[in-house]
Amino acid sequence: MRIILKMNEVDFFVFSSSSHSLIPLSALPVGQRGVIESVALKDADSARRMLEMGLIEGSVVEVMHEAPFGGDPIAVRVRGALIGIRRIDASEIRVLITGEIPE
Amino acid sequence: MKTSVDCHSTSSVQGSVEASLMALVGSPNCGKTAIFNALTGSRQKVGNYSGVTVERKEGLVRGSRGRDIRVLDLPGTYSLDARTLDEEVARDVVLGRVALELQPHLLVAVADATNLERGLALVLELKNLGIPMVLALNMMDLARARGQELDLGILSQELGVPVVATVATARQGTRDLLAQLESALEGVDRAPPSRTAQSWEKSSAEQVRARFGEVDRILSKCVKRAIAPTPWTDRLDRLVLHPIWGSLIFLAVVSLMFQALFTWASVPADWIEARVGDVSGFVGSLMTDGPLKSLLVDGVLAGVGGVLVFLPQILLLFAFILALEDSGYMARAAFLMDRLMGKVGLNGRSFIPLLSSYACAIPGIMATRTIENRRDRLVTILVAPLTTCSARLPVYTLLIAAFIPADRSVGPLSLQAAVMLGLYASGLFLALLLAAVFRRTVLQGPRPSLILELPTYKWPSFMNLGFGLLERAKVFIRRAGTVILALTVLVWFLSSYPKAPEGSVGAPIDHSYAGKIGHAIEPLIRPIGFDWRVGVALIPGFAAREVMVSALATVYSVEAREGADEEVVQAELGPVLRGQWSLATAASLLAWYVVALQCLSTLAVAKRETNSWRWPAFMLLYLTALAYAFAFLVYRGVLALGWN
Repeated sequence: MRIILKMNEVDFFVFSSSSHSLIPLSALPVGQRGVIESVALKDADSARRMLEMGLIEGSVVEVMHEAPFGGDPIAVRVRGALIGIRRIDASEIRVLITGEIPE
Repeated sequence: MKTSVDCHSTSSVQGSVEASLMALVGSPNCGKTAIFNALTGSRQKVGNYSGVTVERKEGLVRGSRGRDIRVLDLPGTYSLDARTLDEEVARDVVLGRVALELQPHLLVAVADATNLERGLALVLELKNLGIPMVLALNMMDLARARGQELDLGILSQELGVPVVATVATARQGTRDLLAQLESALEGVDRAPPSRTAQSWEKSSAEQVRARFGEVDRILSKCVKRAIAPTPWTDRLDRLVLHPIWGSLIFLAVVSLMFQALFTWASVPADWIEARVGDVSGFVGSLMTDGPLKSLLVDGVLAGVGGVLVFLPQILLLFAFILALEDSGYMARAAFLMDRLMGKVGLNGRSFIPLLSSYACAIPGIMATRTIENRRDRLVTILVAPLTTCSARLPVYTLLIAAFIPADRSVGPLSLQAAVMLGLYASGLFLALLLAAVFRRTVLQGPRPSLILELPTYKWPSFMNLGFGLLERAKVFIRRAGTVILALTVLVWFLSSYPKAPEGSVGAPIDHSYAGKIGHAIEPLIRPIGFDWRVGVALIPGFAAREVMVSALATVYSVEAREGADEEVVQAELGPVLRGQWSLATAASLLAWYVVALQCLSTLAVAKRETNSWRWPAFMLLYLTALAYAFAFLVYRGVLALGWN
């Protein structure tokens, strides 16, 4: 399976996956789901707040919306809530892709 | 019984004797305030925690045995690991660490039933404190409508806490909740304060993770059917957060707000104006000419009446802001604006304080408490007075009505509405420009992260809206009746005395104290097109912007009292100004008003929020200098263009 994903700074991020792929949350396209693998924000306070909002290892996330003006911030659904975060922070959260990109 | 905000400094003494204290704790958007309103009805008082500007809401609820229970509505918080001032206060009250505040005997945790996981994580955190607790699961109707089936018995058993289902906006479950609260309060009133709460420590990241693990375990036991996603919120968001449609909706909402302020509000405003006129006429006809009549008619009625006229507009603006907040749109606006705000170094969260500042800079500056980063917060406070607060409306309305023709239009807007929008826009533009300047100079630093919850859309609750507006109306009328009344009488006195000597020529106000002060500062304000009479009105206007209108009314009506065209003055101030001022002067005064920081309360609140005089002093200086420069440019510009 070969998937092309749009990324924040890099224009295109191409990877192939046989079973599971680990990518930054910022690279998860709208409509696709993933399971959070790690939350490694450099800023400890922000990292904790992410955890408190349910962005913890094992939570299922789905990117729901992108803001106008460059698609930043993004709105992700996690543990039943919709949370807006910036791409730069989302890039420090790694997710395991589970769902398919809907056509 | 008066155990409430006014005397909360003594409440720790009275409270233990008279009434038990319970505190509502929950995340933002969980409907905590709706529960507070449903429990206490109108028996509530709003004030501040001592020393900080965090809003303190306390109410009384009558128990089944006629016993009053005090209820505290704490600021919303996601956890006890506080990051903002609001959250700190919520945590410290719960832990019994706030001076002069009693530690609550009972916690009422409020969780949104449609968003259980975060809510229950907070419940687990609170439970560790060892304070008796009851959980109110709010918005149960919405959760049921979305197919959620929950075994509350198991939930209660697993949490070890009584659970009550509520729909606070419809006052459902309030009775059950009250019964639970009362039985939970049995015997705890005189229990010693919780030991665990005293030895509280921040939880580690591991503990946060563990709590979510525990939440998952509990939910797996008590959830019979999981909640369905909200098709409406998703569908609406696809439109509201859409790059093009979302921006258009945003613009439409803001335009609608301003158009409404000018069309809908004019009906009640005209009515109030007419009634004030009736009262003036009635009082005038009863009394013989003299100092007392002059004081009542020209001072008190002209001044306070002139300000009361703006009550409908101010309430309408607050109604918009409250409804946008309640419906969930406000968070979307912050989401949409984050990138743009980021360009000037602010974040999406600054948008809400700035938008609130359109009603009044004081709640706006107070709303900056939700901004976690200190620099972001300071920048927002510094530029908040540039957004057009409602106290400027009276001045804008007066001058626009007098100087801008009503029968012209620009696109769908009348020319008057367009000018108004322009004034609002220039305030916003300057606010953003200066934020960018400050963020690159005096307040440099890295950009912190944004974590913004976008709550499920819901219809604004009329009850919450009603209570919110009632509170604003009270504040405004109290202000009109105290500060504004006092300043108006002062202006009346300064402009009436000393009387002109017998047989002197010229206007009597020329001889008064006000005239002398106005003449003294005239050289200073002449370059921006103001004469001494504007100077007279600017002085009390420095204390509170809207007083300018009543001050002008006083200055001009007092001046004409012994003159020939008394009737014209009494008919309306606008036409008088139109006859006296050039368009350039009016435009210059408008420009001055867009920028100038003429509000002692703003300075006071900025001092409290920043905890020093340094920032408010800086604010006053830069805004005064900028206002002068802006007014100068506009005055010269209009003169150069030859408009009149």
